[in-house]
Amino acid sequence: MATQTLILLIATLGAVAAAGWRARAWIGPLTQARPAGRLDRPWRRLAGVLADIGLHRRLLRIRFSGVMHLMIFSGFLVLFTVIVQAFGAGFFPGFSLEAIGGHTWLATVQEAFTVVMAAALGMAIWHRFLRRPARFAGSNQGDATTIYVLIAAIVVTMLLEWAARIAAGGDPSEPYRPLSAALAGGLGGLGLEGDAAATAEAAFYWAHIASILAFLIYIPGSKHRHMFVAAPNIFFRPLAPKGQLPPPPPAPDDAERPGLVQHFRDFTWKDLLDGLSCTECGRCQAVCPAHGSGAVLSPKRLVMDLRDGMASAPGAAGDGPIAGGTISAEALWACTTCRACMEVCPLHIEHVPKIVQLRRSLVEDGEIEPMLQDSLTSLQTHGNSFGKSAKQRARWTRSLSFKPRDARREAVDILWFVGDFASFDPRVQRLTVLIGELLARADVDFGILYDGERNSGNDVRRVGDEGLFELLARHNIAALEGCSFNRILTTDPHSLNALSNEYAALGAQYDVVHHSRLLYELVEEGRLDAASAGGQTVTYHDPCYLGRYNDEYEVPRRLIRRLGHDLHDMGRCRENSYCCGAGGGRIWMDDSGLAQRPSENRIEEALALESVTRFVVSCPKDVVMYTAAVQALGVEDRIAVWEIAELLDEALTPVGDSD
Amino acid sequence: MRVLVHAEHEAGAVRDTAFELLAVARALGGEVEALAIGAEPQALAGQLGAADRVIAVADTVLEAYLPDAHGAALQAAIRARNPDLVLLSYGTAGLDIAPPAAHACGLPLICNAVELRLEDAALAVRSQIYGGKLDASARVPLPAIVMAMPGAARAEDGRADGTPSLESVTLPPSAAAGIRLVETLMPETGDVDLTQAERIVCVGRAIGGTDKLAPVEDLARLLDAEVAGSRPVVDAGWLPKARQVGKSGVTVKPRLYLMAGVSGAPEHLEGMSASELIIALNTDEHAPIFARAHYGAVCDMFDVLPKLAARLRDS
Repeated sequence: MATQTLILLIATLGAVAAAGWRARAWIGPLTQARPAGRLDRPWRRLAGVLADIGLHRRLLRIRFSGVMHLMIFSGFLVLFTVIVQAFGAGFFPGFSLEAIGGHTWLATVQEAFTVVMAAALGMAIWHRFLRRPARFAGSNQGDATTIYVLIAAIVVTMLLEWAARIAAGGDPSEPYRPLSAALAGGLGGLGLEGDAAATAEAAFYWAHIASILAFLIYIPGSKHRHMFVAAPNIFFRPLAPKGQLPPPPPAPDDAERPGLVQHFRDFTWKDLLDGLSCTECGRCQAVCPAHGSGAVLSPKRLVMDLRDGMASAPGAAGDGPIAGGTISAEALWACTTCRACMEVCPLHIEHVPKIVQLRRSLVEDGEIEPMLQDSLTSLQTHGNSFGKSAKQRARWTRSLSFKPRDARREAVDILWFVGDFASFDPRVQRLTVLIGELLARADVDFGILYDGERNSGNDVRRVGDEGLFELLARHNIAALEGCSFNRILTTDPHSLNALSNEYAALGAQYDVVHHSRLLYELVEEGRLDAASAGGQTVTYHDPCYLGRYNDEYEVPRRLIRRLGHDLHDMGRCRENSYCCGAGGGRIWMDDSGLAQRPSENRIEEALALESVTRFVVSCPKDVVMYTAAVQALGVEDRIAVWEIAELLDEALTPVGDSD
Repeated sequence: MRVLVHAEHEAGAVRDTAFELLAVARALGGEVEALAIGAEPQALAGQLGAADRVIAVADTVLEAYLPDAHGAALQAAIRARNPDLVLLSYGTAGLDIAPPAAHACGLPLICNAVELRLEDAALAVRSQIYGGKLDASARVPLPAIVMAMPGAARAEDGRADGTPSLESVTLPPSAAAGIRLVETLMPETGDVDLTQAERIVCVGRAIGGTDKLAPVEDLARLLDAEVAGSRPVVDAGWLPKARQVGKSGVTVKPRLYLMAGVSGAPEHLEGMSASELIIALNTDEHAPIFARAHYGAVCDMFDVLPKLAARLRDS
């Protein structure tokens, strides 16, 4: 007995040492990384862990995989008692879980979960090797297979051990182990009884121990690390406003400019932990508009490549910058920052902030997409991306039946921050005028900043041009400081995000309202007397920066229904909305190399909904993107892009009065 | 009055912009010297008949265009010849080498010139400022360096038969300093450079397919025009990317831009609104292009284009 205990002790210590040795490649970088500051609000953090691990909240969004994971996860929890029993008995002869039902009900539960585990393994194998969802493309299939084999080995040796023990006779838990008992009968039929069965039991015991230790050794180099890293990764998830990007690393001691993420040590330890948590499930890849349109970016590959790069980087100052090296510039520019990947990741991995950090170092090196360069130059000189003089910003107001008040000169209730596309793009200007007329009709006390407004900088920040963002933001904040108003109105979710989330980090707090909400308020208050006989079948596209970033899903839908339209949601809606492809500065870049533009994919999705003839949007960039997409697909006769304000205007205008 | 003209050349041919400069120099009167820099610049003399003299700076390091070496050659030529006026074209090379030469030789420099006249012993120059929105007039004492805008004169006027005499200037030994040619990458313009086209016929998605392009190509041939397309046309693969006009394609400035079935999205307008004459055909009378076109017609292009071609063929 003593010899066996010694062998087990040596084997266990050896396996732990081997696992530690295998983990060293990523423990080093993790300890050298920057601090992340993620210890605030511990109870809220814990609640999130319980929801996402205990309740499988995000995992269950894909029903089959979620249930399968829940089966394996609960199986592991229950069968952990078996591991405790196996090692306990090995180290302390006579150790038993009898006191907590180890010979009775716990035995039955263990048996039941053996079946659950086996069924889940079967599902996993079928899913991965026969059904083969596209999201697994690029994942390490060999790793997954090894895991399946090891889990199967653990479960099978465990079951055989139990069966052999029953066959040997005198197992008190026999009546509570129907499966093992049946298996024991089978072993008996093979002549395995008495002493032979006792020998077999010992052999299966050691095989069981060996498979557990093999699993332990294997884990540090495998995506199955998530068994240990997932909970901390979810605990340390970001709780800052979703629309507020983390700042660049602090300036090095001798420099005035902020630092850059060029090496793995420039990331925070949480950024690196993200990579170690990744299970390569590919949910992010499946929802990514860049990946879906044939761009080289996959959020999954990005996280995997960073993880692998981190583990293999020499860690010395000699290693080259990550942007353009480990991660190609092309992949970084492809991101629309739509946040679908982050919203769907069961482990709360933060893809977008990493991409922006890396873009910042591309911008600093002048490695900028050529079309984007022109827009940034224009934003620098004119404060807008259209290359128009700042003086021309309010030119659209000439089409109004009145002159809007200048919020810089007089106090107003609502300060309308118009935004670039709404001010300058001819396709949107028409709608800006229409919204202005609606506001006047409802007697809203509003004003604009005229040429005092600049681009909000939301997408400039996402492009990675931190300096230009600050220039624009500081200008707008100074302009707003001189004004007296209660709320800021904007039709542009990107501006809304910058004004309410990004400017807050610069010390400016505003109450910002999207026009869909203000218009809904005006209708509800009776200040706009809208008919509710719309009668059209419509669908609504959630803009990323209104929905996913700022949690506004309901009000636009309420307004559409209030106007009497039949609203059919697309499959990808609300937090799973599919980006139009314009965000994160993509609207300023060349999109001609794509297999299919996200906007065109989206219009096809809407067309697949029966009898939907109107595609309702609530973002100026969506107006531009989807109008072009409808035209490019040549489906103008089947579907039309409607701004939500147009729907309202239609309900106000007496029939026959329109053109 | 002696004018030194920087004669840029490429692949053995003197560039059009250099002929334009020769035309400017000839119009000013006096002696004209063409400065040819290269490995064997004497070979260009035959093309530079409009000059009285060709000043050759020959050296193997000058084979490919390198800013520091060619800049040193320019400065050596200015010092050796003492011209009253040095003319360069406002382009990549001119921008590289003219300012250092002005500094090194202590000469005034005027950029973006569109018109030059002699007034007494000084030069009256009209030049563009604010990206061409305004013109500035200046009087500069000679000697001076002037960079003229491409198109300031007609290249034809700078071409002449003649046998200019040849003089050599030696390149100082330290000329080949820091920059070295690694590789020459040619832009992927495909089969055509629309930016150089004088006339363009552009089609929109309404064209419907490659098979429908025949009447458009026919008309383009008769007009001596290039065929271009809007983004959807190139997306659909009906025309190559090099023929896409607009924000994500090329920006063009032809004398004639005839567009058929293009609605006129802002991104397209960005690429062609500087065209001298825009004629738009569209079936949709509300198409935004009608607000920008100089002439427009609400019509079916498949109806009009062949008839237009037939009329051109007749005349």
